Amino acid sequence: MSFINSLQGMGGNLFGSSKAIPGMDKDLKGMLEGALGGEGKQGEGGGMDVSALMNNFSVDKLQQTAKNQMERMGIDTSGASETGRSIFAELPQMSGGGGGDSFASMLTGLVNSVDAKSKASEQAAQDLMLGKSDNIHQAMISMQEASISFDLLVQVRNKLVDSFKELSRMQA
Amino acid sequence: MNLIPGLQATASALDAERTRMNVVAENIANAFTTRDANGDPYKRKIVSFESVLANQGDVQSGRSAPLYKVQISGVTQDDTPGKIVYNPQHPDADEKGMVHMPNVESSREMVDLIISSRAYEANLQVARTSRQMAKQALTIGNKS
Repeated sequence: MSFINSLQGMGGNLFGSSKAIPGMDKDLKGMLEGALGGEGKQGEGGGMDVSALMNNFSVDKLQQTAKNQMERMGIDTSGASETGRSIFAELPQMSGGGGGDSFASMLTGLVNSVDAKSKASEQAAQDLMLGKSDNIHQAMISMQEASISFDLLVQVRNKLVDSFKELSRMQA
Repeated sequence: MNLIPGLQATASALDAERTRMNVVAENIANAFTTRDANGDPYKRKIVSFESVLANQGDVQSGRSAPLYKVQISGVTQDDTPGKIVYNPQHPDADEKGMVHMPNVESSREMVDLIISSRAYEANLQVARTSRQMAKQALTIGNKS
């Protein structure tokens, strides 16, 4: 899958932007590799930058979708959404300048496809309940697909938050 | 995005088994039907499956093999003659009092029923297992 590659890319990119702070490269690199499960090595030299990434990336959209998903699943989102907002709000202030949005568009793509899968499964379940379709297994399969892809989204988000936490701990 | 492996083929197989189950049910239901739309006794129906290419795959890079799904190739009639029983009171009896019964044998249909249900079960197990695989892969990053 391409997600791991993208995470690798992100590791390198975060690392690249840290070159503004002299002498920090090695520490940050080690930290990021730790945070990303040792996958930051190949991503070096990517031309992306955290602030650009976070500016391009529509945080609200991700949060809204995740919130909707969670609400559908009956999870209380009040706390989680606050945490997410503050993390994303702080990130742009960490460094400046740069271009490229491949990671942002990848993440948006992931969110969109998770959302599409969830909508499809909802539609299948609704059709089944309304008697429009009698395809029990298809409905169950699309529900499982939606649940797995949502799990994947959550894992990607966890990794992002983890690496941000590592970064913020370093500044203290 | 196809996160759960094998689901496309499995879903088509489940569909096919559903159709087979429908046909078996139809056979059992019509085991004593002496008159169909054309006035003939009911003829037992047989489902046959065929595989169709669902996905060309990416053979050159070796990332995925071509994927074949199952689909119903046709529902055909079994034309073996049915039993002829003596029942002169029956409205469909001929002038000698003989009634042509359908060629459905309940025992054989029950066997088909069990085969179909077991095949459905096997495909459900495939779906469950591949979902489990995807779920386990997602736990790689978990701490402890």
